[in-house]
Amino acid sequence: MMFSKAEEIVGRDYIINDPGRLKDFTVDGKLPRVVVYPANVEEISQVIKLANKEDWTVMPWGAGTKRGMGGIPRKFDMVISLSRLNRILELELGNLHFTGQAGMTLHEAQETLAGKGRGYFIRLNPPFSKSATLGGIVAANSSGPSRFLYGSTRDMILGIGFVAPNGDIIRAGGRTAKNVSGYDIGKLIIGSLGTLGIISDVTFKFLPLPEKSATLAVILSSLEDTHDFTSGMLNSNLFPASIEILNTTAMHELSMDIPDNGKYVVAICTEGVKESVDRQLKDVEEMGKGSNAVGVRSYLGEDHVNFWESLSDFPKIVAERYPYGIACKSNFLISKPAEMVKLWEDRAIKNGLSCALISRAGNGVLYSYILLKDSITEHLDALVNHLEDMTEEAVKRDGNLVIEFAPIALKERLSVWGRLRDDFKIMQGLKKQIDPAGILNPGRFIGGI
Amino acid sequence: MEKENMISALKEIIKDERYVLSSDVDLLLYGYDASLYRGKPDVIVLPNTTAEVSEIMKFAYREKIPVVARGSGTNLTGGSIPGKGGIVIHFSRMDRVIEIDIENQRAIVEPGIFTLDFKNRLAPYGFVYQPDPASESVSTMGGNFAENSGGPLCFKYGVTTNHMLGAEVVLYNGEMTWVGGKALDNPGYDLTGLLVGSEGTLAIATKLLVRIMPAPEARKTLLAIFDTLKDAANTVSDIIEDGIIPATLEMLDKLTIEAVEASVHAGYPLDAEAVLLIELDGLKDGMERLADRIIELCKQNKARDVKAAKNEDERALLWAGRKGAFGAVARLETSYLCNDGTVPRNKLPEVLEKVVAVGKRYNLRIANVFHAGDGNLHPLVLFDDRNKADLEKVKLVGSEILKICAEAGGTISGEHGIGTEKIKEMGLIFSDEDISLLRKVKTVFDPEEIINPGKILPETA
Repeated sequence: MMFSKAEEIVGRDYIINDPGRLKDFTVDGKLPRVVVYPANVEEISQVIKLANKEDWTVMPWGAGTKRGMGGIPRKFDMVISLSRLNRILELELGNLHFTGQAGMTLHEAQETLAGKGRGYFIRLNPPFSKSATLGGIVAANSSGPSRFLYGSTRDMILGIGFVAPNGDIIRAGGRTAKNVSGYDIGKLIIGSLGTLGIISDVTFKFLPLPEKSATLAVILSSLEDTHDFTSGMLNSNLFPASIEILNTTAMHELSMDIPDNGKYVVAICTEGVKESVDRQLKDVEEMGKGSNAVGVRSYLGEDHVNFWESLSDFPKIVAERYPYGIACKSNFLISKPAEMVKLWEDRAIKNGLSCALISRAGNGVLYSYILLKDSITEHLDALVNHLEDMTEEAVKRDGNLVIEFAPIALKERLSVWGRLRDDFKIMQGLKKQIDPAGILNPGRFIGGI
Repeated sequence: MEKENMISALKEIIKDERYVLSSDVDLLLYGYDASLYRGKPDVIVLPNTTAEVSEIMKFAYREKIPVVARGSGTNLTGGSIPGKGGIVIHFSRMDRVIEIDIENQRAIVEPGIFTLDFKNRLAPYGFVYQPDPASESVSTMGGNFAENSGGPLCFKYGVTTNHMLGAEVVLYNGEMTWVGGKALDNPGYDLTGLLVGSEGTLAIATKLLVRIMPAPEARKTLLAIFDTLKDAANTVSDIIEDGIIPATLEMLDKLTIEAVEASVHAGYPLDAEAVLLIELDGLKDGMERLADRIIELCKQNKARDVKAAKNEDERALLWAGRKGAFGAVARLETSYLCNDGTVPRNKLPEVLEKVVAVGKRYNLRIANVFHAGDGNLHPLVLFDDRNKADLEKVKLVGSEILKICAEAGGTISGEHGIGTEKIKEMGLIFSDEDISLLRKVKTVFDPEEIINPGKILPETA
């Protein structure tokens, strides 16, 4: 029934239910019953209306890079793949705006922009740099190291087109730099993990490529020095694009060549006007010396690009190398990154876990990767203890802890979205009002939304 | 509910009679804002704490009385008008800075503080709060939050929403909750992002948590003078296409220049057709080169002259013209309508031409001041508000301008909001489905429609 009705909408070539092919859409060990590939937003709307009528649940799908995020699906009937919505809708150099369909990769958008006129870019460098799609990046509020200077997805989006859970085709925002007409619905959609709507297109601001970009990796031997150096950076009037702290395990995974007494690296990316980049490189090096740096590495050109790409793509590296790997993201006060790194390292050692730690120091975010290769069973209790502990520590610092991917066995024992806060009741109210039947991605978002 | 009972109930809550106002003069004064609309509240209350706001809301919810939160009433679209009577909560007593947390680059303030006062409190630390609405010396942080205010600096730094990280809010039933927080990326829906710019129709903010940042090391302020509006507009496009990101790109037209010179004497030449105010900020390195390049681009577009401020006093003077523009234009006529239609930057020249034509057709003078870098227009349509026919005419002009903006791929409000004034134009940019979704959001936050009712959304049929 489901199959034939959906087939009427998208056509025979754009629907699958063969178990062999459905395997590519596994989420937490569960398979959907059918995958459809609508050609356009109207078809998405029709499919959604049908899903409502038949009480099927729907999961939007870009490149599948975020499939590990969120809770285990409560019910998993249909995947709507956005892969056929992959075109550029608008690109206006005179207004610096770009509208791409949800299934297009950010990589393709960036390549296109880089080739126009003097060369432009969308100021985002989130993980899965080659495969992540515009819709997926927005739905997961995904960002990368350069958010320190440029802001995150929410600061970069002018408009979003999406299909609401009742099938209505909605436009939020537009293409102007400023817009306060009606409620800012786009903000609700960003980071909502497909639980309030299925994104069909996104309009980003973009900017000219910087005149110059360069990287300094400042090598330090203690966390005290690391703290000293990063807080000095934050309170100076320098504006680097990225300030990232890496621990020894993370450096090792990236095969960085670091002297033995180097325990931490603070990688600084600076970009913009040439003179200001040169000045910042000089100042950063000086500040590093002031914080007892044991070495400094400089990356330019290709090396610079490759370094940041592999740093952005760290979760991908972990997923490929460690079948039982776990990725967590904690947020906290921006003065606490070194403190959080220390807590993680000390407790991980105590619990017998190996962790690669990368802190987006200027933003008060820590990505922690627990590197498990062979199995998880014998570590389960330790992991639960450790993560509950770390959630508590982040909450103490006004933050929280989110598990970005983990084996099902662990997901079954923890809240992957961390601690609920007072405002959760409002979130529940919004979900209930906008998706009363709960057909969009049920069970995967905060508090089981 | 009987008005007398309402007043005595509020006096119970506030305890101090001086802060519950209901004289005829008070009711008249709080029926105004900076728009053309008027209303009349039943009573005005000035709470001192969140707990009092919560009690007021509990009372209003129980009795189904409309409530409008109000800062300084600088709203330009009728957002702070008590159109359905009821209670006005005026936040002038809740104007404290609760915390300046330099280490974490955050501050918490109460909604009644003037934006500029807050910035002055940050200055000794060498820190800034970036949004800079032109009215910042009198507009409040709570008002900026409600309207998602912009300002000249937002070309580079974004608008209020990009700097608001959380808020303590009182909900329709008097419950208090925090949304957002000092840390970024709290899991869940972005409620702060939704509340900013909701024009006080979803909840009442009682504390605001904002991002502050170290002040830029250097600034360079330029004033370019043009003989045609089009040359000035083209210069804006050229600067942007050249890859330069100034902090500010502001334009003023001839009528505005005349008004400004008559009032603040900023040194703008009276015979110019347009001036561009351009400011760069950031590190000093490379700034002179960019300034030279901007001057070159201005000259290529036939700028008559480009002045550079040599010191802070000269900079303040150049800015005084822009900051004082609305006040100065107000001296030209008994009243004006200012709307803020916004278009893609590259559509500015053609849209401006059309705006001028509309003014001519209706025989009303229009002064243009605008955030050119953001495509945000501020046509000030001058008229005599004692003349009924003119008042009707000016509303038609406003509506036509918004239509021009919508047709150019823009929107009907860049930073002033919809309020009462633009409800009828919502259909220019929103479909019925879009509006029905906005209404669902309103229902979640305000099921009984008591929080600033009758704003933004068209009445249901």
